[in-house]
Amino acid sequence: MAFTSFEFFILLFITLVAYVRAPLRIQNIILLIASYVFYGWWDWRFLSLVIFSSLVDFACGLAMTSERRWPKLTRRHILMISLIVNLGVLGFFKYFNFFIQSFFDTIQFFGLEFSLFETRFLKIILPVGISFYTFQSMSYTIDIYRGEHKPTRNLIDFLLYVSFFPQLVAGPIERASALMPQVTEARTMRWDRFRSGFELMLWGFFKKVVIADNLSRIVESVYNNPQDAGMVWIATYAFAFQIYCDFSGYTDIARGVARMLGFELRLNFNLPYWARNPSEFWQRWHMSLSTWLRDYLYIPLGGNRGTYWQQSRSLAITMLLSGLWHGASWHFVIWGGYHGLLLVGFRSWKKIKKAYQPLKNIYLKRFSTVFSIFIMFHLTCLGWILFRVESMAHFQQIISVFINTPLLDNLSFGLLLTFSVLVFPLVLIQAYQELNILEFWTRWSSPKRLAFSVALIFMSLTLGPPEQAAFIYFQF
Amino acid sequence: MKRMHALFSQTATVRRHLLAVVIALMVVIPLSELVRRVLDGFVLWESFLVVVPDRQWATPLSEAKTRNQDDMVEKITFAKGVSKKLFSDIPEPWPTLAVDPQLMVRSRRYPNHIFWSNAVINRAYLKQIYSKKSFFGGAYPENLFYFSTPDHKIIPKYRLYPGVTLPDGMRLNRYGWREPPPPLNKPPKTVRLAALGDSTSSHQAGIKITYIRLVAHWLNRIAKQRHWDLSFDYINSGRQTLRSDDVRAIAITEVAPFEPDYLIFYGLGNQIDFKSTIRPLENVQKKTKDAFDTDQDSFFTHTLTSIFKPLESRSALARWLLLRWGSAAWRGKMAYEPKKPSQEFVLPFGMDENNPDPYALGMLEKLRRTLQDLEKIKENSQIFSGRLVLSSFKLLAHVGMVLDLSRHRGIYTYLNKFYYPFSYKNINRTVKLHNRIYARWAEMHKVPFLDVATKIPDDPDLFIDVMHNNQMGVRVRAWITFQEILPIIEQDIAQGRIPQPDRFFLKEHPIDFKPKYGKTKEIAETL
Repeated sequence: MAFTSFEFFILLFITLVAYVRAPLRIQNIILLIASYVFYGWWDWRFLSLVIFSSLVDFACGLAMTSERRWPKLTRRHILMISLIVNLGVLGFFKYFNFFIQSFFDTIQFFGLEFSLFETRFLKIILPVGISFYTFQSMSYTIDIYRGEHKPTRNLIDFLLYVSFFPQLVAGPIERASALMPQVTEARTMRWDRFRSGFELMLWGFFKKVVIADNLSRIVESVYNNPQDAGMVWIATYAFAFQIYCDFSGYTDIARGVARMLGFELRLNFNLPYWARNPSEFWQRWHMSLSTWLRDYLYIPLGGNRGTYWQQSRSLAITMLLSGLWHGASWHFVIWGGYHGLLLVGFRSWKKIKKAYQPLKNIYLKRFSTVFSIFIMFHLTCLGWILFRVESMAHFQQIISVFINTPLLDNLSFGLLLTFSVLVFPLVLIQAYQELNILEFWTRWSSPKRLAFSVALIFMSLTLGPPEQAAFIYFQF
Repeated sequence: MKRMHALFSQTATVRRHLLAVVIALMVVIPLSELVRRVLDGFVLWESFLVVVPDRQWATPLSEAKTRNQDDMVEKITFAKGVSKKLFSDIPEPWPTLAVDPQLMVRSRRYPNHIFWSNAVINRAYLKQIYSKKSFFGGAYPENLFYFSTPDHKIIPKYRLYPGVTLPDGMRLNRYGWREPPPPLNKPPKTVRLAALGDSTSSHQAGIKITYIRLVAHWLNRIAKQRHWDLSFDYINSGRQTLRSDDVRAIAITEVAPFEPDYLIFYGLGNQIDFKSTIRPLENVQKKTKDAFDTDQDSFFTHTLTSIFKPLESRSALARWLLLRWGSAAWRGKMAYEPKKPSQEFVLPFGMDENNPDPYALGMLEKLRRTLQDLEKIKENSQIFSGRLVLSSFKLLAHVGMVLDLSRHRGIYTYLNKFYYPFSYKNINRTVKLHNRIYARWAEMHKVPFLDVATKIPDDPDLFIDVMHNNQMGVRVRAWITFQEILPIIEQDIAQGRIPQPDRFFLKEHPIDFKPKYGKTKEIAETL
């Protein structure tokens, strides 16, 4: 069930009505049922996967702190069970096709054929949100192992923690220490929080339906048939904003809905295109994933300890795996590697920069900031090409168009106008948000906020494209 | 007092909030109208919805994705040596230009007859039907564009205005056809394709790339792959509402000077005479109401439609709301075939349904005329060694077909309103009979026959109505046509028949396509 579907609004309405006056225990049951209906709407068969993953981690969490476990089964063993089950499920459903296909491609490269096996194996469907809920579930057992969190004994609470519907299929990836207390403690429904949640949800809808979905038409038409460098550049910029509005829009809807229910989910996007360097970019983009990878992968690999090369190696591995997390395809891996290179390169640049005096002139400082943002945005856009293409052959085609075709000769005015109408107001709003606060409307008077909500509802209803695009991150 | 004060301040608060809502709507409605025009490609400042030139960035090919597209392409790729990846290789659409100002003025003046008021009518035809109210509802424009044929024949009934973009966004070349015009005289080593037919060949304005262009494009790709020393170009002479005699006249007078090597005939679904093959067994008074009678909109839909329909040609928002509501109102409603009166399928006397004789068509008078016209086209094409190629016709109707009314309402209306009381089964059977007759005729006359109809998937998502495709449907049909014609071309290359040089060098086309303009009454009453 997508957030932008009619069924979701029905589900949300029914859930709110049932939820608002119920006691805590009943509220959690209502939310759990709503979550399973929400997820099962896509494909009821994959509900069993969520429940299975949750049950395994619930049991592992309890077992790790129980005195009554098998003597030879250490806490480390139990953690391994949790990781193997979660990563096994993720690996099978998400990466099995990829590895088999890569294997076949390698075999075929050497002139052999295995078409019979190909037909038999390559038909596994990817369950929606599997990358998100398995990571969230794993973080629970890892935190218990590290002693950072105590396991819950209430199965309903834990099931809700894993499958809380606003963030189940596309994050933000929550930590047990942040979300579990909200699940287990009484929540008060307050009008101001309900209202700000509703407004945040509307803002998310606007970004997704009006900006992201309309930009996707530009991107798709140009990337499906790239002819000129200029058009491909515009489409790449369009994709940068499409993926941002799509993903951050989804997160805003998730956080807004959660807030309406009395939960506070973590911030996942903090105006990432205002980042001045790669490190800052990953502190602003998909923050829940980057912090997860930092805490559970980068730091265990060594983190900032060790030599420069050891640190770089840890960073590179983390970013390569981040790329692989995004998609079971080599261009995603290369995208991750590209960002790894940027981060490593930035570290080296920081070292070199230390040797120079910092800028004192305020205007030069500002220019330097603007210039850094400009450069970082374009470096990010180059990476997005890898993210958007459908295969390495497609990537080659795009690069070939960049190199061999004119930049300005055949620019379409219609495309430029549409891009400008969709993107420039957003950029201005983001500039305002950067200088003030993200949820800038919360500082307005009540009538002004109502006017803002009405405008967002009207525009979301009337400015969407003919066919709504699926949320990009659902494919992960 | 306190209570009154509290009530007053509450009322004031409510008023402030209401005022905020009103101001918000006053700002956001015009703003959304402007943005909607940008998104949908309409000129910002016209009071009328006018298509903007240069809309090609929003290639509808990417919009009309069907479900399981890869599987579908896999199933419809059958020609030897053709990779399904070629299906994704599509040319750039021909860019539209600004709508002709004169045509814009006429469209505003005659908003109910935008198409015909901008068409170039055959003077002899106009004279014949002037007194009938069927054309323009009897309310003729004061002036019309017209042309005359040297022999005052009434065919073709009309031409399209040459060298302009029509208000609906259709760009026409200097002959009044879609797509860029090829050179009149064939360049050396060029194989020329000509599409003959009706609106199922010319397509709606929203279809940016016509089927014949796609066929030629893919043939050029194959030519390059196989190192054939030739190239392909194309003509699309299709036009709306044509009959076979119109197509014949177009083929002989307009298309023949271009000396096409292949004249591909497809269409004329409106000439399939269902009344001759399907006989109701009970008195059919009027259409029986069914659960999904699209005439019976709900009160809310009816109200919404009556408010916004008059604004549809002027407001992009109104147009959008009608489109979206139309889709939302029927959302999730899956329509089976409604109950139809009893009927029987009737064959012409003595006809074998599986092996019909094209010369014993009985009551199938329209089909007889079509075949006669095809004979004449074939005969004429021999002058320049062109080959008539006949294509079977696809009409979407089959037993058990279920339609999603939010997406397939056009198909449902066509089948159950326009074709009422004929059942899907009998419609399907009639079309199959027609196609078998075409095939048999083609065999008898040694005309290549492209069996396109059986290979086009019965997927309503490829269609706008029962016979017109959306862009993806056009692409699918082109793909099948391309694969069907490829072996014929391969054989002709092997036999040295193509490429063939131009036989008749022409300085200019024998027809002057420039329209004349005059008072309608005068044009109709004098000749």
